[in-house]
Amino acid sequence: MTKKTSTASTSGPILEVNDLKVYFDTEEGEVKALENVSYQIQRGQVLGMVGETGSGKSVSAYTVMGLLPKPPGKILKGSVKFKGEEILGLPDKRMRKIRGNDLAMIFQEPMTSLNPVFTIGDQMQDVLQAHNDWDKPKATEQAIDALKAVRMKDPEMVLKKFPHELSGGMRQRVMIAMALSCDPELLVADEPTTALDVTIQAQILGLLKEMQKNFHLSVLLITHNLGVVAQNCDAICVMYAGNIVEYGTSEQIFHRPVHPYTRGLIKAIPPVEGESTHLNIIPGVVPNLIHPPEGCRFHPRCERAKKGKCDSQVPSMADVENDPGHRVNCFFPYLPEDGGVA
Amino acid sequence: MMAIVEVKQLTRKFKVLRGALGKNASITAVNNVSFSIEKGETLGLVGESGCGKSTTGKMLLNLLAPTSGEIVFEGQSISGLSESKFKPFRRNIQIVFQDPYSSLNPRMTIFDLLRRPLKIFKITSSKQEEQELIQSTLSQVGLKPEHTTRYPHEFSGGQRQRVAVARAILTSPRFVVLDEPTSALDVSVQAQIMNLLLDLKTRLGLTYLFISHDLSVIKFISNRIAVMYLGYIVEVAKTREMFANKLHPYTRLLFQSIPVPNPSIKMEYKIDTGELPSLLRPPKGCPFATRCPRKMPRCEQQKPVLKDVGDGHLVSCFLYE
Repeated sequence: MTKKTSTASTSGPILEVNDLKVYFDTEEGEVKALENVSYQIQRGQVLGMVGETGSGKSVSAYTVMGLLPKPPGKILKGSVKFKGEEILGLPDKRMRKIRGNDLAMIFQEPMTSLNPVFTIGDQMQDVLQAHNDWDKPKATEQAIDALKAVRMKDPEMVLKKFPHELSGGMRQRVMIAMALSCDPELLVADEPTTALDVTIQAQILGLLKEMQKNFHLSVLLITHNLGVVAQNCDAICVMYAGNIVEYGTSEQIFHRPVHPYTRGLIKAIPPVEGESTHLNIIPGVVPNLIHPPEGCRFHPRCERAKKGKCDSQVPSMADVENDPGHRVNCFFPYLPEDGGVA
Repeated sequence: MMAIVEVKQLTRKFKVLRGALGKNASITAVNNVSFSIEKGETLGLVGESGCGKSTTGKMLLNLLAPTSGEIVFEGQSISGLSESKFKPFRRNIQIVFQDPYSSLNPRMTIFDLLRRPLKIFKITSSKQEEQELIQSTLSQVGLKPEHTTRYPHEFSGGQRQRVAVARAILTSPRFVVLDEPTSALDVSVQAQIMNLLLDLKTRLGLTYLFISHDLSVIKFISNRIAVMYLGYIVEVAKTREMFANKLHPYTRLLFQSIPVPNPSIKMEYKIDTGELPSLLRPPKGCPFATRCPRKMPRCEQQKPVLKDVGDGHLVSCFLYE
């Protein structure tokens, strides 16, 4: 089958998101879910998107996948380029072709993304046949290969099972096998291990790492878990209240964070190494995005906010001085020399 | 030091129906578990889903009756008591649950929610006293007097958990079970609640049983840690000792599995560490034998028991006999 489209280029970033603005209409008012969101994923790179509840990380992923429910969602501005081709606003038929083939996604709760009344085999064959010109035996053979690739024991047996007969970890392996069965170039993983126990989480994270290497995949990994991004990502976007507040390599983000929110967040994790009797807190709560704060959305909770600036003007992403590739969305960031917190 | 809580060979079985014919079967959620908690201590109970940690917590509150075994609170046996006989103890043994969205009645204002324990235990004698105690307890957990007229849905998750904590400490308990109190919260809010819990413990001289699946949270708050697996306690040690010198192969796997929020510490993820066996078909010997990298022939046949390997460090594993 042919995968490459005529407009798609083979060099440059695999995904380019530019100035994305996404709102939701709700009964209470308009939720300003994403504003000024721009980022890129290079080929073969794992980009982590980390943030707390309501920071916009999942909305960002759904927008990229063309899965944003419209209404209530609306994309007011921005562009999403996949291999150089604009995919925002593509006709559904064309988008369906890209999704699954070139662009795949796995979700937090595999039980809700698998159909409970069909066997794993039925569902995997369905996906494979929808995207390839294969007969059933060929699709079955490929499904078995895909399950073997995610180190599933006894794949023939698994094909005959229904989703509820598998454990959470097994279901997530099936989801990964399904997502990778059509050999995509970009995998979007939305909290793929959040519903799993920690020893099973480690297995799935290890598996994702292995798959990423073997298939030279690019990955957008969305999580609230700072440990997961630190261990699994090349680059990290930190999100807060619908904005990207900081971008950098995992070393830059963890060893010399410059945005006050990033620093606060990292210091709020109870340390596994060393002792502590008091955790750093970020005062206040995440703002309501129907009426987000004026100016910088973090300013009401910020220790460095200045009156007349942060409460009225909106900062934009800018390079961090003397730290190539490190970017921050703040008028008064810390300096990389201020040292690490991790 | 005196133990405030002693748990002796506690076992809890649940009946389950299996298959289309509804054949009776039973699972043992908590299996012959023994531990004690000293006054003023925090014991962390850590383990993954289905290990029996919450069932253990519920038995301490008499919310579930043990199938066998005994629970002793301040020298008196409290297991298997009827609700009316347990009532005098309930004032002294309180619990905070994981999900403040479901543990607070949505139809009651915060004032009404907090007034109930005061009424039930006849703690206050006048309206004014009631008012004062509620106000002062709210301020202890970082909430304001004007919050009393609000309903739970008007609060954020962190604030709701503060209300749940306020309700738990209102009766001046001596022992509080905290069952995953921060698992539903974001990191920055979790930090606020953890600081609050630690602060209250010191200020009010409380004793905690802290149940969690999160080792970093357990480490922060606990003096001692007990690790549970498949209904058994497999290892108990003081926090520092546990982190420095973990012995049980399951404890090691658990610790190795936490993604460290520091990119300079590179983790080795192991992909083939197996899955939890079903409680319907538990292993015959050691519960961890099916996944253990250091399994010996006898592990499949015999059950190890918790043994002290020195200085109160207990481990249930044939490697240390």
